[in-house]
Amino acid sequence: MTELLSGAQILCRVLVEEGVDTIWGYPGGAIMPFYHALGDAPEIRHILVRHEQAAAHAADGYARASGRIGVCVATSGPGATNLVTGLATAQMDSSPVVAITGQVPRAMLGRDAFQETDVVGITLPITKHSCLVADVTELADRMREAIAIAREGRPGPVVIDVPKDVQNQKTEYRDSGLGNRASKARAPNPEPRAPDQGPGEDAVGAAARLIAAAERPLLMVGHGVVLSGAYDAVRQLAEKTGMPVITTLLGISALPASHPLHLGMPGMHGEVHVNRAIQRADVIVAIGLRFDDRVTGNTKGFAPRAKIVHVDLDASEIGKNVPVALALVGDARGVTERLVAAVAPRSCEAWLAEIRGWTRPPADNYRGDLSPDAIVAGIHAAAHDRCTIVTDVGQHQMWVAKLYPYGRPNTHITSGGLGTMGFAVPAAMGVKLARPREDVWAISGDGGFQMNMQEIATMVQERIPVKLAVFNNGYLGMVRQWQQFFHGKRYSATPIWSPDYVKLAAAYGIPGWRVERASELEPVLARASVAEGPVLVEFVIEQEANVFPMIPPGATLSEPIEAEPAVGVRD
Amino acid sequence: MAYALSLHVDQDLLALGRAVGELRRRNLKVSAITLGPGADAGEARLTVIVDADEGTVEMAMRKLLKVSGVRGATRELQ
Repeated sequence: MTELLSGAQILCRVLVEEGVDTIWGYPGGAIMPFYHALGDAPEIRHILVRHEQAAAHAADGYARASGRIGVCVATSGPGATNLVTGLATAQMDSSPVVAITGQVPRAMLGRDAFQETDVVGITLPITKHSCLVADVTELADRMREAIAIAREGRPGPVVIDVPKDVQNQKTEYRDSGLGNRASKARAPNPEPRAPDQGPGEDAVGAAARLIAAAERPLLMVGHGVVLSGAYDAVRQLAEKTGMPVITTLLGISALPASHPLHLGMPGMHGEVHVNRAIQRADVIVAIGLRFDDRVTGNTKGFAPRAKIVHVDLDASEIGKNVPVALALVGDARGVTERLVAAVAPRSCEAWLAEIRGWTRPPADNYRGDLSPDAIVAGIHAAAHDRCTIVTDVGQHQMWVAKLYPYGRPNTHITSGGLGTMGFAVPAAMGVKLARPREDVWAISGDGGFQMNMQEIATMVQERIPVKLAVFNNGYLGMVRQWQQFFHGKRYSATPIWSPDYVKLAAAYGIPGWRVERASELEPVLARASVAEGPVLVEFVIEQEANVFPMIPPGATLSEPIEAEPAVGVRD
Repeated sequence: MAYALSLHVDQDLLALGRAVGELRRRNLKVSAITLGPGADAGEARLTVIVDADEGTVEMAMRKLLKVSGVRGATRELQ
């Protein structure tokens, strides 16, 4: 069946057909036809953010928590450029976000018109795909294609830029005929360029033999396990082989922290025994991760004894950062399930005992009364594990990653690859709409919180009850830590003033508390936990608290700093 | 080592921009670049001479093959 629709109506119609029920955006001149048509699409809930960057992060958070695409909308020019950081964040962390941007009318393109920017050109290197649709008769297919590209293979963000006159043009519209699911449209270059059936039996068998012959095998788990929902397969592989398990920052929560085989997080702020296990391992099975430099340290000294088996959906990641002995290209869940079937049962008791022997009690580096450990434990106790934690970027991010005892899959959401300060508050809005029945805590530092704290207004207007936590140490803490360790304690541009957060909360009409002592934690978090709307809790922590251990930049995983070093300057 | 990468791309500036942008992002040392017609209608052939080791070229080829508008790619040691 065909009907005559405008370009703007087509955009709305395709979103509805593809099952999109929530979008995030900010109207403006070049996207007004879309907003007009949106009034006739009651299936779609639009959330008006206070800054377009927040729309992109919220769509990203929604996508990560729901497993569906996240959609954000902006006008041309500054609206579109404000999306950029959020799109780059989604690209680095493989999140399926679709951004619809208005563009100046076709006749004005290339004339430096009011609010004209080349958003397709700007976003080329930070998206999976971006395109301008100049013909309304192609719009439906291009929109379906954009959605397909975003979620197909390794997910990622897509920009679809639509001139205002194309939004107003009418054409005959034919639906996809597939109801609320992905259309027939496929990415022009479907990825990965791996056989649909994944690796051959020879490769899976070779991996199983490597695991069987290893004396010190290790299982490294990354974001791909979360994206493919390979939790059960990973747990079965670990339990059948006895392999100790390491979870990268974005792999955290893929295996419960309490699991006896779970060691913790590797890398720059990984525990000493975790990094040492990597350095001593003779076989590493890495699933759904890309050997980021924050994980490997100096790659020249990374896992010097290990043969690496790399399981990844994206063939272009194999061998990119570290040499790989065996590549298994395919979906993490499918490949891991085949590995589970192929491996022989074994145990690694001696190896585990060796690793446990390297574990040391946490150093007592904290000088204040309200420690990060106590705060994280307090939030966990108050949330009763029915909670998703969204963190920002910096010291608090590392404390939460290392200390929060995650028990359920995909309950830790953070900006890993891009390390985007300001991510947590808007992303948590997306997470909360995806998971309305559980608590969502957005944990930030005082720097990152102030980058997007305007979104409290969005939470109030749209009734999105996110619980906001601010670790306030009066510094851009992680940068200050680097200045302390490597730049002669010259705290250049890192002291940061904050407003009175309790009064800020009051100004937005939400409850707010300041916690300065450990004894105040339990009563405040209990009240915050039962509050129905958004709440804000400020935690005043020691100003110069540090995250230990730390691998200095450029060093190998064998060279951790475990206490404050002598003051010096490092390149 | 010098390699000639021969890319078959959609004949439009956006696809060419994506392909060249990928080369730039991967920090490849490019000594020559030429554009000519491809074998099929709507296709252009982009030939790039890069100075890099085999592993780097292999990684670049895999990344290029993911680029929207790149239909195929071959390489040849010069």
